[in-house]
Amino acid sequence: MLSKQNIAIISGDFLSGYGIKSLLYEYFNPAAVDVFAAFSEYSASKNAYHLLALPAADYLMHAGHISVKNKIITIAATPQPGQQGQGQALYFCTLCSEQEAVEQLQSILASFGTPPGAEAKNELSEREREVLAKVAQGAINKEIADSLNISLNTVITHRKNITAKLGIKTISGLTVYAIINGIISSNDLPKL
Amino acid sequence: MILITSEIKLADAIHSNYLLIPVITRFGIRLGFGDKTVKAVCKEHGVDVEFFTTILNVFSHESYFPQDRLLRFDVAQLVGYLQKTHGYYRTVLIPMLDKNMEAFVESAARPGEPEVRLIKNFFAQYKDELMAHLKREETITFPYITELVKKENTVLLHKKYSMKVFESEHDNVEEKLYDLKSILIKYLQGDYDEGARNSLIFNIFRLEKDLKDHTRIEDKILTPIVKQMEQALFGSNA
Repeated sequence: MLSKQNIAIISGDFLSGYGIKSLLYEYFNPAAVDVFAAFSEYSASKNAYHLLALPAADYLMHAGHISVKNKIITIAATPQPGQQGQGQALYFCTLCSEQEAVEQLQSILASFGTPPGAEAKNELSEREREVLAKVAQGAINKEIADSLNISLNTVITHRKNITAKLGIKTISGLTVYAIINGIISSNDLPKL
Repeated sequence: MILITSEIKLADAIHSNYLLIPVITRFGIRLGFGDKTVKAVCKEHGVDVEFFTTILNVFSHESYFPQDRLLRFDVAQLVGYLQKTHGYYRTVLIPMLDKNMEAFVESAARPGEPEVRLIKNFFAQYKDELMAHLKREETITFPYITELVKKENTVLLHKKYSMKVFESEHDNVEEKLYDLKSILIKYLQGDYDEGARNSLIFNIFRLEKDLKDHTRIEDKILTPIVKQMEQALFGSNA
């Protein structure tokens, strides 16, 4: 569900930050988790995050400096009344068993819903299949653009999407995929 | 996985992470060392124990990277280790993958299918790429560094090659390997022996892991050390 999320954790307490990071990696397949020792380190970072976990006190102090696009989790050792409903923040309590920690994370992460694209079908569109067929036959971007009557930029976008959907990066890998799936026949290849 | 120190038993290191076996072999250490400590085994084989434990720990723990200590290592020793790693790919891992691929292809219900031929070709292409990559390092990069260490004829040497060139050429040999995995895991549906397919995939993962570690050592340790040497020898012309 939350695979491919970039997550930032701010924690002055190394072990608790590291602990949350380890749980996320062990149980949830995030794209990346970065731990920062202080809010200033986080704001100096150039990376973009979907999710930010930080101590409740830091959140109250810096809420105005956090991008509205970020989903927020506040962290504290024990449950703190009144925190839960505050703003958009969800609440993570570190004084708990491993099972409780995993379940807390799971319900927090589930409440954010599916990140865009994560559950989208990885099936190629008609146009992407056409582009893939050309790529697999060894055409370069310019040739593909000309023969399909689309712009060079559109070809590049299609190619990015094809690679993202299939998990195949190289041209020869795409060729193998195209033949296995009947998008082109091996007779279409220049040499084999 | 445990942190490897000079005082632990070498056998315990392997029990904790069996993927270290080939790394240990690269140092010329053979299995059958009983209950000897890392320090004792290293002494017996004339291996620098600090270098040995650091390489093993870097291999076992992806985020363990004591750069300061690594940057102090002797370049010749480092190059020797990297060369042995190449030897391991050539004489052990690649031939094993060849056999795995052969067994997989032979297990196909219809070996004449184009997809069987395609996978085989794709792997052959990858192998060529990897071999060319290894050869270039062995014939150009490593000798360059060795000469640089000797400080003979360095100016002439530096005109022909430098770590800047190495960095610009150091392409990613793992992309095709990743694609091969994707195809074998996600897309290939034909009738194959699952055992043969699984062995092939297992060993691709192993090669990938080993190459990743190898590349990390080249990019993060070898390159900065040699660049320091270039800087010292050539100053601003480096």
